[in-house]
Formats: sequence, C-alpha cells, structure tokens
Amino acid sequence: MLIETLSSTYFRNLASQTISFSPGVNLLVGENGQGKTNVLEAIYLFKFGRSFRTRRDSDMIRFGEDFCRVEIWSALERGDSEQFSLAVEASGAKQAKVSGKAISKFSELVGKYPCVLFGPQDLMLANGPPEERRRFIDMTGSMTDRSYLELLKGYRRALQQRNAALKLAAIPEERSLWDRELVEKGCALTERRTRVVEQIVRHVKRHSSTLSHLFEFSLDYKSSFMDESMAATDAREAFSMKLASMEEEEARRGVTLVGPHRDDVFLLEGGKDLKRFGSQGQKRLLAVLMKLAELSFLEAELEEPCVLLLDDVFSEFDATIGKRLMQLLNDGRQVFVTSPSQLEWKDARFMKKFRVEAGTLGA
Amino acid sequence: MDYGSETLSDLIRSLARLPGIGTKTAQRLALHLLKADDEEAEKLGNLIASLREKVRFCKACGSITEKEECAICMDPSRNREIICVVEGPQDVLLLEKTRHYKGLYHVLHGVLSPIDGIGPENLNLAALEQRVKSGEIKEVIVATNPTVEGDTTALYIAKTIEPYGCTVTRLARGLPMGGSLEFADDMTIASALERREKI
Ligand SMILES: [Zn+2]
Repeated sequence: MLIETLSSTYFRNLASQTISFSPGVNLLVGENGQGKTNVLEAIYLFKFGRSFRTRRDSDMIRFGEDFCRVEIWSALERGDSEQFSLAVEASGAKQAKVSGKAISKFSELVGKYPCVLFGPQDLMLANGPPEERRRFIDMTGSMTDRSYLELLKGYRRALQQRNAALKLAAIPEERSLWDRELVEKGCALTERRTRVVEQIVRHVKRHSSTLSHLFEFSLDYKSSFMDESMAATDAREAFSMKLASMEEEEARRGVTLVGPHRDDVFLLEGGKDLKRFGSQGQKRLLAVLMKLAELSFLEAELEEPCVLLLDDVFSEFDATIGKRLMQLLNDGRQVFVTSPSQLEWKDARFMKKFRVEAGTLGA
Repeated sequence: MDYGSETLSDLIRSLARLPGIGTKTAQRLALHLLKADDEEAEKLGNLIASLREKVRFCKACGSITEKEECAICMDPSRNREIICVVEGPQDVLLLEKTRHYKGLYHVLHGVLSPIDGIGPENLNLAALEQRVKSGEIKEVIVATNPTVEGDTTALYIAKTIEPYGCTVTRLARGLPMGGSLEFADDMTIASALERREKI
C-alpha cells in the first residue's frame, strides 16, 4: 500500500492542509509537541479504526472544536486507489468510510489497510507483562484474517460470561455450563496463536541473521493448560482437566484462572529465558526483530507491501544496528519516520523531508 | 431541554428511553405527533394503553396472543410431538414465514447471560421441562442464535431434557441457499466446513 495524501480538519494540532507523500522514505523532523507523532497517529487510524495513543476517540479533536476528520488517499499494489475517511464527534460518535461507503463494523477494515507501527512503546514486548505479547500475537493474527478477530471476541465473551457465572451461579452445574464455549473457543484460539507464533519465529530468525549474528533468538508459545506432564490426548481434554483441577479455587475467587487469557510467549536466547537472563540490549533487539517479523508476516500473508510507521526509534539503538535496520526497512515499501533531529538515512529511496512546526508540515 | 411544555418534555424523555431511539429521533416523533391529526395520535395512545392489558403470552408456549393460548398451540393440524425453542416471539414469526415447520414452539424470552444476571430461573425454561415431562414430545429443536449465549442455552436445554428420553437437536449453521462460496463471509464458510456432512 502507498499513502498518497493526507488531509485533516481539527485533528489534534495539525493544520488543515493536504500533504502529499513520497512513495519511499518520509522523514518528519521536529521538536517534541510540534505534531510529528500526530501525523503517524492519523495515518495509523485506519488500521483498526482507532488511535494507538488513546482509547477515547474524542481526545483526537482539537481543543475547543466539536469534531475532527481525517482523510487519506491510498493506492494498492494491484492498482486500486481508495479513499479512507474517519470523523469523530465530541460525543464520541465515530464514522468511517472507504471510498464513500460507510463502514458499519471496524472489522471490515481488516486487511484493507496494511500498516505497521513501531515506536518506543513496543520495547514493552520484551520487557512488559505477558499481556503485551498476547496482544501483539492477536493483533498480528487479526490483521490477515477476520475469523481470528471473531474468534478472539467470542473467547472474550465466553470468558466474561463464565466469570460472571462463577460469581453469581447458585449451583455448580450452572457454572460448568460455560466451560464448553470457553474450551471450544479457547482451544481454537490457542491453535491460531501457536500458528502465528511459528511464523513470527521463522521471520525473527531470518532477520536476526541480517541484523546481528551474535544472538540466537526464539519464541515459544506457553499455554496455560497444555502441560507436558498431563495425560490428556488432545487440547480440549487438557483444558477441561485443568479447569477441573482448579474448580475449587476458581469458585472461591470468582475468576477463570486457566485459558488463553493467561498464556504467555516465552522469549529465548540460546535456549535460555531472555526475561531472566538477557541484557537490556538483547531485549531491545528482540523487540525490534518481533516488529520486523510482524511486518514480514503481514506482507507475506497479504501479498502487499505494508506502510511502515517509525516513531522515533533510531535513538534507541547504536549507530551500527540503526544503519542495518534502515537498510532492512528501506526494502521497497513506504516509510514514515519521525525524529527530533535530522536523520542520516543513507541510500534512502525517494527521501522526502518535512519540517513539523506547530502542526504545519513544511519542506 | 426546555420545550415550553412539561407534557412534551416528558413524552420526549419517555420515547428516548425506548431501544434504538435517541433524543433527536424522540424529539422528531413527539413533534410529528403534535402536528398530526387528532385521530392518529389518539389511536396510538389507545393502542399503547391497551397493549399491556390485551396482549399476553401463551400459557403453553410463551408466544404472543390475546387469548389464553396462541393460535399455533390451538391449531389441531400442528404436530404435537415436536417443539422448536426460540429466543423471542419475533423468531416464531421468522420460522412461520418459511411455512416449512409444522410443529409447536416454545419461546424462552431471552438467553442465559450471567453478565446481565440472567440465569435459568429468569427464562421460560421450567415450563419447557414440564411440557417434555408430559411425555407427548419426541423431539426438541433448539433454534437459539449461534452466539456464546445461544449455544450455552442450547446446551442447558439438552442437559435438562435429554434425561426424559426426548431427542434434542440444534439448527444447522452453514452456507446460505443459492449463495456461492464467493459471497459467503469467512466465518460462515469456516462453520460450514466444520459442520460438513456425508453425502
Ligand atoms: Zn402457544
């Protein structure tokens, strides 16, 4: 995909202007608070129909105004050109359109707008709690397959109902009634996640050899119910057995303690747990490799180059890795990169530089 | 907002509380009624007033009627050995429109949903068990929606009813008739594939 133009009205501090972008590297330079990241936020909006910075849509409206609008013209490799627009009102009401046609569910955007964002918050992938890694896998899987997203929603619903039943239901039979949906959807989700992780590992290993030969990274999906020591013949049985073993504690605490919502992705270097034995540098590197793997995974699945958004990431790395990273990322796709200062990007394809000052993009 | 009339404000507030109607629509409806001829507004008022009084639920199946029992339950030509269980009265209308089903119905008036505090005792489930217990019923078709709640309600029904030696079936979910694969969404195709049948 290529983003050709962006126009916005009352979107944060961005001036109402139409900006044309380069199909190669777009460098946005400006001091903090001038609006660099707002540009990335506006472009990212159409990936899932929501911001990566806030859960409250009305936060995107400029102070004192009662709506905001973002419009993007894009072109796909196959040749179709599409117009994406999104309007948010102060009440929180939100309306998205693709080429003039209103979208009723944001899941309709899945796969239509391939883009990947990489920013300082992604370092949490290696440093943060399991939730960060689960969300990474789920978002990656959902981008290429709407049924993944539906499955995820179904599992969450079953989990909510089961938790409510654990708290409310008078008799054990009423509680265990919700086990079937939890187990069915939980096993399906575990299988889908495992498959995504396998692909991510493949790409991590490939990119790792280009970026730095020093380390041997891997990822391992750790299910909360697939326990090697158990005698279960399949996932459903294993899940059910684990639930049975937790019955008393779950009833006492009123929450479901086993299932994909409790799983983790273990990060390994040379077969050892990176979280415990790894250095900060190794963790940072693996987080980058995971984002690169997401990019490669999406491009392979969608057969379309992704738009890459880099939010001030190069300051996190030493110059050698930064340079290699730039080479890797410059491979035939459109890139938007923010930086507080001028950035040396050697051999950048069609580099276009923008100076961002008080919401205005100038040459 | 001050409309200059307490009655009008009250009506708008009441209308806005109805499902699917916001303040703007409520306002438009109320102002329309104000301008409409006397007959139209009066008729609507009377209908609303008599709704709760006249319309009731069939004591056998829970469907809508103005008598003790609904027309379907009283129809001697219906097959009394099959019951189709649905979530709401509107589902009975949908199934009747097909003219293919000749059995009886049972309306649950909802589905199990602990999040909303709805357990078996809040649904028309005890009456279903009673009907099956009476012995005439050979098959119960559960036609609740294919959601987490609908599927779990179906499971509950199967568990409570199968001990009486009655067959419990579930509506199949699959590809729409006459629709080619090309136009089915991936969830439908996945479900149809999972529930494939032998030729
Ligand atoms: Zn009836």
